[in-house]
Amino acid sequence: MPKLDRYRILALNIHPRRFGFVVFEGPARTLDWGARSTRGKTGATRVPLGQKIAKLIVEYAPEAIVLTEPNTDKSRRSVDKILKYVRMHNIRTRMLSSKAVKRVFAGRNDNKDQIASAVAEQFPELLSILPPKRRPWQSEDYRMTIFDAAAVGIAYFAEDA
Amino acid sequence: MASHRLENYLKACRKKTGLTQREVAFLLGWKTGEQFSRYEKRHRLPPLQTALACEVIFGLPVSELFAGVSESVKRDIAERIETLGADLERENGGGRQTRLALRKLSWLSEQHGRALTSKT
Repeated sequence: MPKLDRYRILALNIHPRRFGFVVFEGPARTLDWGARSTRGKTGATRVPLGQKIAKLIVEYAPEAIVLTEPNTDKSRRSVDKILKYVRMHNIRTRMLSSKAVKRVFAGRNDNKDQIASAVAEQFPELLSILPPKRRPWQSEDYRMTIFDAAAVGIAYFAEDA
Repeated sequence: MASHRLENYLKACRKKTGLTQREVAFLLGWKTGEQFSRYEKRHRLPPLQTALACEVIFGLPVSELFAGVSESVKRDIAERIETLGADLERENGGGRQTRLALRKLSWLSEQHGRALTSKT
């Protein structure tokens, strides 16, 4: 592995209808982050998942791609597509289980909101997009996928440090 | 994939500050953020004045903001220093020319760490 503080990774969280990403350069620096929808039939949401990921790979030339293990069939199909593309381009991939991610946030891993707050504390630039605590009758905020991706990235560096 | 710096870190710096492209464009004295977007996407290289303005806005030296460009410039210069050094070492005219070549070689060695070979 090259010098860790320059090691660029693309951390992804694949959701059945969208994905979140965070580009890290080393464990303490984020370069870019965002959420992209893949559910729509018109405009930007019509662009297939593979193309959106490919654009990020071309833009940031990451040395590794880190993902959470998919837990639905649709996410699994999406992850398979990504892995196929990534292997063609000879980029290292690493899949982390949600348990492994939670382990890194020990003491603050009861729910996604807690993990997201821990991520925002570590990376204050993400504080402005931290979604409010989800109420039981609300659906998940679309920005939560960015924090899930960030958590995977943090877990990857914590494991490989 | 080789480990190398990105051509520029304008987008990363801007996103860290929370500013929009339009707001950065305003600070640069432009009306829209389109040109800044081109620099962020590495479609264009900004002129020196804009690069220096970015240094002031983001508080990072130009060589850090444009780390990839800086690295490639350094690599090119290092190659040319080697070529120039080799040319200077070949100068065997004697007298003033040789002394001058030696002076240049010693400067190259001091400033750029080029190893002197035959004439030292």
